[in-house]
Amino acid sequence: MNFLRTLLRRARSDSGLGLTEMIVAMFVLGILMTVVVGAFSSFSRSFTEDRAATDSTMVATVGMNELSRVIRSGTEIPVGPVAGVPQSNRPVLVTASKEEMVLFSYLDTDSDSTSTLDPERGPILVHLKVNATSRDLVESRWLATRAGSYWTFPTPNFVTLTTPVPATSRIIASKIVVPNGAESPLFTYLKTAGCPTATPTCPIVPASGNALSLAEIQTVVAIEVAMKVQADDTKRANPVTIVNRVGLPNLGIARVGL
Amino acid sequence: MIALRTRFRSLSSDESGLTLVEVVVAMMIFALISTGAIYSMISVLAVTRDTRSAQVAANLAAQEIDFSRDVADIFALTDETRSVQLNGDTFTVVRSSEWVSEPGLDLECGTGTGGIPLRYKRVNVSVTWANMRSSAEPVHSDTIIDPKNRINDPSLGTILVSVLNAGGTGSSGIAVSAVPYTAEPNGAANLATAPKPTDAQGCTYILKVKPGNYKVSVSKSGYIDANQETTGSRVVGVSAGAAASVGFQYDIPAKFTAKFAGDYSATPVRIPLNLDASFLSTYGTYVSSVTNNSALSRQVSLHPFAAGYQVIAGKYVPKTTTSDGCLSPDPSQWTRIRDRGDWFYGERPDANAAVPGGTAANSIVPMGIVTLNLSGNPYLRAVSTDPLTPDDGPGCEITMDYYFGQLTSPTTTIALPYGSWMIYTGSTAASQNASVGAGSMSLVTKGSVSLGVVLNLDPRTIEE
Repeated sequence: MNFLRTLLRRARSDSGLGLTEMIVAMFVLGILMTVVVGAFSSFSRSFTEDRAATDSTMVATVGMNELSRVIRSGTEIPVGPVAGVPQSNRPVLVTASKEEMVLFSYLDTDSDSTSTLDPERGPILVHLKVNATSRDLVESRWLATRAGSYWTFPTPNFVTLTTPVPATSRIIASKIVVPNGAESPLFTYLKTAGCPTATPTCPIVPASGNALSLAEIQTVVAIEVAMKVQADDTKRANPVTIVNRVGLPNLGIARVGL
Repeated sequence: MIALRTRFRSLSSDESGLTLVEVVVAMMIFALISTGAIYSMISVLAVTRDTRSAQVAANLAAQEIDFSRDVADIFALTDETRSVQLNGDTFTVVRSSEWVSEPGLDLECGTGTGGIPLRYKRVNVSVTWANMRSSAEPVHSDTIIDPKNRINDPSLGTILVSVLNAGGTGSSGIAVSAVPYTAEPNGAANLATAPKPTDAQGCTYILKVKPGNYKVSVSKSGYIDANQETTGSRVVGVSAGAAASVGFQYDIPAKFTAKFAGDYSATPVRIPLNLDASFLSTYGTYVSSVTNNSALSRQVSLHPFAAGYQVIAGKYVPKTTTSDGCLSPDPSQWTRIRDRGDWFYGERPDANAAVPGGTAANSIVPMGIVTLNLSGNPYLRAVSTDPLTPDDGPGCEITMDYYFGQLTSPTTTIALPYGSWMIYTGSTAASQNASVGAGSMSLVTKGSVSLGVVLNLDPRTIEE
């Protein structure tokens, strides 16, 4: 204390600071600045990573909500007898591959009936596909129109999905990460037929190529969605994976036994 | 404020800087404020992290519900816990399920008398994750699952069987059978399909049973039920459109060892060749009987009740409305008496317990000990008799008749269960009818000889 007081007394004179005092002062200031700047930068990094992770989670959640809504409302479509083929049910899925899916769904449908007097709402045709370059998951919808007792869709063979222009088309999730070898793809299709007893449902492995054949599509009872999203372009935060398994309750197949 | 203003004025007017105290106080205030700020930033990070985890957990819960809808056998859908690694976090998915017989009323098999049959199964899923904040709620998801086929029939009944282990939790994999009760079937018929073994909750459900009386049995190799039987069985009445409930306690037996007269070691002691040992538990009494065994140590495998067994010598029979039983072997049944200024009372030996499949500590069985001086190596027999006065014990209405075989020396020390006894000798095993008098008996433990022939062995000890 006496030393400080002496220092202060000396400070009142006009003799300024000695070199030692100057160095000590700078040293102390240096330590303080290091602590403060370190804390500030680590907090700011934490918050940036946190925001990136939250962004990824939000993107994945919104996408997953929409996907599970669409899949859970998946429905078979009765098709009228044509060219000697009797009336039959078209399966829920039209196309099924790892990152692309076309299905019929009875979902908050805007499908118009042929007459305004007929309040019946029809199903929709939904195309879900991850764009290979932008990695956006795009959902396109086509509305059904009524033809007699059956619903028809403007894309007659469900293959040329660009014409006509869909009723709605929107991005429901973006920046979907390409899964590495060991990870599950975005869509895994599950069946019950021929599965081991320990696992009542098991994934369908396409016999050829990436897409399921019609016979394989007919065995689908549930779809597992594994959405891995990296919303942060700088990749400072880890990507977020959300997994959900959605059954097809409209299918009429009871998976619960007795 | 005035003080500050004065301070500033003095600061601006003269050049005397800040004092050390002011600097320290300023730093402390700064530290306090920054601690608060840092703490709130950390909690903001924790809250957003939990929010992200909750989003992932919500999808896992939805998936678990879908898994539950996958079961091949709804009766096999029981409680399960599994952990999932996702995004570097460990999520714990806990599924619990219970049959529901009436909305708002869970049905636990084996409890109550049953009544309303099974309707559907409720499934509750709860997902938690590592490093959850203590105030964060787990994610819950619930559903009810209906069996694919009808499991009830208004004209048929259901039997709910519950098998618990000694610890009171469900015992799985126990074979269950139900057959019509032959003594009074009352319409019961053989089951169309054999019941399944018990599930993880220790339950099995026998569906669509024709009304009537059934004998339900449980069996598993190496197990014993609460009545010390290897195959436990109960008779249950089933009525149409209702469920009957039957419960078993069934577990691997534990080994219990009785050391007869284990607290006496002064001279070799003989015990009756057909001595009974009563194993008392809160559930009831198990009597271990032998026909020709002079060993002072006897090991018995019994159901491992958590409270254990108290072992007493003799055949203890509790008092009923029709019989006074045989109470004298149990020291605690003897009344407290005053003798020459001291109080005397009887107490049972301590209980010994063991885990299922384990071995209990040895049970020392105190007995009445008397030395007999009999020449000619006679055969010896002891028959319980009524005490002459209430002070001589609670009595034994169901006679105990014990044989010692032929004696080998003129002086023999024998041990007998507590109570009143007549001692007989004979030159052959068939003619043991000559009563032994007081002159040939010398008591080692507390007791007396009444009327010159009735030996009273008293378990009471001085009260401290």
